[in-house]
Amino acid sequence: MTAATRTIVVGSLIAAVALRPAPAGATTTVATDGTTVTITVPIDLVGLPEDGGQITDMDTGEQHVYSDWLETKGEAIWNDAFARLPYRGCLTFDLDIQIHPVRSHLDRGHHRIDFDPFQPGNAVVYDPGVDHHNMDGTRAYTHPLLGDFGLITQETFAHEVGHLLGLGDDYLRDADKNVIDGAVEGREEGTLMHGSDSTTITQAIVDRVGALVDEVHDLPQCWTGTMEAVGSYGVDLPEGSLSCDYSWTAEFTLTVDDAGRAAGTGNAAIDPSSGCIEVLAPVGYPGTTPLSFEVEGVEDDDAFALVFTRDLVPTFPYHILTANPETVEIAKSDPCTAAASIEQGTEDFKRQAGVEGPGWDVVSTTHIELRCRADERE
Amino acid sequence: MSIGGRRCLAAAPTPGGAAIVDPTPTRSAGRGRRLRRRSLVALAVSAATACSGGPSAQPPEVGTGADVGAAAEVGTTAQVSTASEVSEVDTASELEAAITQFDDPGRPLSASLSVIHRHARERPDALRDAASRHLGTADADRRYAAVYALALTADDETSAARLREILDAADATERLVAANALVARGDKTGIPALIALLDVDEDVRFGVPPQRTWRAARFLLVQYTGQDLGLIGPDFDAARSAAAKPAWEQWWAEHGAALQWDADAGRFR
Repeated sequence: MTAATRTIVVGSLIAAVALRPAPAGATTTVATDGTTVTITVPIDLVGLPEDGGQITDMDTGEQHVYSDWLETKGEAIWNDAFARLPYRGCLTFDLDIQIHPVRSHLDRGHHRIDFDPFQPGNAVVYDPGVDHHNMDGTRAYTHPLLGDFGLITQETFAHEVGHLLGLGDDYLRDADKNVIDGAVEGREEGTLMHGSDSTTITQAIVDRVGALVDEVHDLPQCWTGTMEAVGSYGVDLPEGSLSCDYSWTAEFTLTVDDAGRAAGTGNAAIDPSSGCIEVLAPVGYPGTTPLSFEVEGVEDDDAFALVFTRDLVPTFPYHILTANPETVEIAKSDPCTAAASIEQGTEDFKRQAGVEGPGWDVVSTTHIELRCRADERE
Repeated sequence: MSIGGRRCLAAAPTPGGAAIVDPTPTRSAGRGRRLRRRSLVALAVSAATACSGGPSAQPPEVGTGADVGAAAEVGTTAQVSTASEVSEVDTASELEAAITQFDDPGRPLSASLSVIHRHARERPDALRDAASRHLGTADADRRYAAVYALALTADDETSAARLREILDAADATERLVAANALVARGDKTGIPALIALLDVDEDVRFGVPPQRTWRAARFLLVQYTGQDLGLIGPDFDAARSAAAKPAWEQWWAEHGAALQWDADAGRFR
């Protein structure tokens, strides 16, 4: 082994460790509901008193049950970052840490950590699925991992949870096992995975978690959509007839699962310079208040078929959004791009909106574009 | 703080070792049982009762599944062997290797720590003896391994006395490891050593993950004494830790002699 190789081989995750066959069980699990991806990390903390032990919070001095405190702090550190930093721009991870203080080893698939207060704050998770401690790996999602923890801080615990999410260390050790300056190439210093003093979780770290989860669980694809609409409509008022020009834009996100089911949400906003806003607001027209909507449908190799819905009426002049339950076809020009321009007239609007009678005089053009992240299709 | 596990001193030895992989899942009849942490003296008195199946003994463990004890080490010669083929000589050499090969350049640090932890669970007495033989070595890394192993296994007054001697070591990490092992067992002689480390702004050697010495000392002092004295607060840094040191020294001078270990609370009062 060369010195250069050794530099990255030493560290906190055992390389190429042979273990007895791991029991099938929960391990680190993933469940997707729309754009929320819940990651559950069950940990048997072996040797901790069954009452969970006690700890003094170093920030506040408050007393807590140690096992509960670890759960709370670990989840807070990770979920604060997950809430701010969606994966692929649309998926939000939600971490659920479940610590079970147990007095002896149980064969139930949980990650199994031996707790020993006689060591000075070390914490090690052994991942036989990676070749050295800097590597990310997916074994935590398929097998229980083992480890040894001393009495550790919240920062150290959150770092170890990173390992139970599959992340490798971002710090480096030299051949003498001393920590050296710098970080793994392409990673950052001063983060949660670079040491035990920081709780900083960056988008890059979230993306690494996402890539690991996706490798095992095929996360939904993320698409972003935009709509731009221009047109005019006529309104008969006691004071006389009005012809109202308008324009509005909308943005929305879509997730598409393996079966091609698409679902998402968005917001639309009318251009304040559109006509008739002040005149029609008293009779319930949307005005300039942003309008939230939902979208669902299917995707295949050639196109999306989407239905835009919303629960507010009246919907004028959001014609496409009033098309419920009519389906909008959006053809793909390549695997990661889809677009459509939809012309609508008075009869279209009457049919979609379920109104009858003369008038309306609708002329509308709505351009819809959908784009996915290119790296998801590679 | 009230946290702790305690090993049964008389736990039956489990065969297998650093260079041995038993591919067959087995029940971990030999793994040390855990007792609620009490003082060093109380544990020593009760150990025989606990390990002989007396009232303090815990139920035997069920199903081991994946077992860190079965981990083979990188950089060592792995071989498959049945339990009956493991000789005492092999066991002794494995225990020695846990110390002497700790700094093997080809072995990941986690592998070295894993071996020590496994031996501490399965053969605490033998590991303690092996550790004691290497405490005086001039090789700093192996000496660290010996101190670490002793910290995990110091279940008698002799080894506690050895830990107290290490409190005067030149190396700050060795002092930290020894002090932690002592206070976690209810021996207050480790407290002034931790106070002395509050202004040591250097990495803990072999810290996993990396941590600063003052940060570890700060955490342990608060957990085992319940005192604040300037160490509790958000966004803490080395300067604040060092600034708190005089107050802690004064507190120790005034209250150290009267401190008593509260086994139920797991801290000094």
